[in-house]
Amino acid sequence: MTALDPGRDGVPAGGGRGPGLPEPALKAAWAAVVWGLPAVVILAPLAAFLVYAFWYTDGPQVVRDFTLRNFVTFVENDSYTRVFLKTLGLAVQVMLVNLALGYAVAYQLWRMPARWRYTLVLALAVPLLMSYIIKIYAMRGVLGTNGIINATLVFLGVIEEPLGVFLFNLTAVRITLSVVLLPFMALPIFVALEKIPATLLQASDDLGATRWQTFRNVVLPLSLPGATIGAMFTFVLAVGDFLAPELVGGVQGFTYGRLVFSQFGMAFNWPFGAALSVVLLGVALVVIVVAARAGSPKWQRP
Amino acid sequence: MTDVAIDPGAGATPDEVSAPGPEAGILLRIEGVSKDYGPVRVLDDIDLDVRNGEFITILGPSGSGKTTLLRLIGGFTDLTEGRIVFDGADIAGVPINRRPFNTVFQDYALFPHMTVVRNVGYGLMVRGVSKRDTERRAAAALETVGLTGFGERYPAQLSGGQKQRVALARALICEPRLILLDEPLAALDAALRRQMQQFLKALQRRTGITFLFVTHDQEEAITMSDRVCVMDDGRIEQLGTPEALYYRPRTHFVATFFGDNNLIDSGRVVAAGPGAGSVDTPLGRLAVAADALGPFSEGDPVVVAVRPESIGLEAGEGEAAVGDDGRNRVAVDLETVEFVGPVTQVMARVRAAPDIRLEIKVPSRAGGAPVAPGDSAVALFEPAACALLAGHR
Repeated sequence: MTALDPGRDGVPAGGGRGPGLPEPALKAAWAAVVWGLPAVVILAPLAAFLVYAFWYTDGPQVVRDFTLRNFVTFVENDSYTRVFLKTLGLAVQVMLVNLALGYAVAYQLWRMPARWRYTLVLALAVPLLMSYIIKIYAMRGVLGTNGIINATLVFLGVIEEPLGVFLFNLTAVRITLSVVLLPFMALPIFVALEKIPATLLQASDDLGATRWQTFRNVVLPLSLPGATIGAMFTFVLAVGDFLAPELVGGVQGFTYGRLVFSQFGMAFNWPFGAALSVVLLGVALVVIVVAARAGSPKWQRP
Repeated sequence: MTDVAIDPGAGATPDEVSAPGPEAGILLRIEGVSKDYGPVRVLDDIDLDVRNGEFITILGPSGSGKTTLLRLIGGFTDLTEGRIVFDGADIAGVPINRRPFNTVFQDYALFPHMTVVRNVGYGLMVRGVSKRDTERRAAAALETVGLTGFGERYPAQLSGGQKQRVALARALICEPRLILLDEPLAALDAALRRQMQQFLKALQRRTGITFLFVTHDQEEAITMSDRVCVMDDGRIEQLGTPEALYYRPRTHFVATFFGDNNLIDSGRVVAAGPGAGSVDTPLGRLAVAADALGPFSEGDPVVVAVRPESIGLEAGEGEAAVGDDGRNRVAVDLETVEFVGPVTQVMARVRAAPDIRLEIKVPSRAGGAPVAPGDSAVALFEPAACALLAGHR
């Protein structure tokens, strides 16, 4: 009220909200901040990359002429496409392993008594707050020659000397990504399981289903949307990751993410790096669209 | 029922246990069942027999334990004490999926990812019945509930009433001998609820399956059931036909649970013969029917309950006495006369005991009520209209 008629009832002008802009203008200004800021901070750099991808370098110089040569180079060069396909395969493997692991974890959590359940879910989410690098170094500690795995095997007498085979190869990348990305898989599945009304399980029970039949016919189909979202997360994060392969992958673990990184770093070929990023973005978008469709099956739509 | 107030004679059914007759078998027997949640006793020593083929309703306010009782029978919770015997066998250790009855849940509990026909056929599918047989019987069950042609829809595409019917069909298809219904109409709007009440009642008659229905809605219980079991605070207050509960309440709770009631305090039984009895009250000596006396004998303190619509009015002065026609007559002064549609509601002060007011409902008639505030009148009611409750409430 004071904004509309500031002087009235002895309220001094500027005492309330003040004689500022009229309501609609305020709203518009607010909307500009809310929508504009992310647009500038997130979309503008992305757009810049998109533009970069269609330029090229001449020596150290970036030539600002439109060209498709970056994409042609990528498609025609065997070593690039091989890394690309290898990385897609790696991401699919990580996704599948995590699907099994994440589902098992989420299901166990869901079956816990309520007083344990949320504490443990929180524990599962805590690593998300930790630095990514620390998590990877922690995995190096597990997989390395002085790591837990080697120490255990030596202690058990399975091997005499610590083995180097657990680190600096593609398997190390697989294991590290699976562990680090597990929360992204388990949490959406857990949420989907939590959303299943208890009466549905009781109804299934009541109608004569065994526990396995209830799982197979009710729990599993109703948790699939969550599993789809989790699979999407882990795939997209795994396919573009460069830090884990960099730190535990060695030469064998040279992935697409590292390839992109190297173009910006060592090679200093930003246009080619941007083009490779655009390809990655395209893969991610396709996966997200597919997952979004699969994640909302037709029975959910009225 | 419409002329009860003018000539309150018919209406009261003396017999508490009338419905399917004594030869009808007991399908489900609940013996001394108690249930504790931690230190809280939510069910206390419940005894209840459910007869084969009846529509029995467990009625109570929220927190009365009615849903807990249903969940115990359904096998969703374990009992603390007592036995539940189905068809002669104790079912304490029988898991839910082996119990020979089915539940209709309050929120319908339809599987959202299955079509209607798959929902309905679920009980047969998990038993390994062939796909063709399942579909045929599911179609038949859908026909029974009037949903032919809805088989390929998903639950999200159905209205509340349709979902309820699917839930019923899903329970019916297993051919249970008993169906447990947990407030199945609570989520429906008033008009649809009335329609579903009639539908449920008709379905129960047609199939002959015993229905054990749980609700907090008095009207629903009265209009649908053969017998009603009123619960409060974890105990059974009274079990009987709807008429018996309405006209022969045994407790204060039941007397005031179904509609309005005049409770006349500090009465004392003065005669309890086999033919009829009489009770001294502040209104004077009232004649009561023999069946209302129930467990009371001479000298017992009682409260007399009379329904407002069981009381008639006669203009003019009168003595408090039992009239020549056997009706109780109480001299009153009218305080308010209020037209409320089909009935006219009168508040009358008892002349012999001015601190007692009687609520009286007489049928309205065109041309206005024949009585007005300030009039003297005589309130009339049959001995059979009086129910007796234990005194000092």
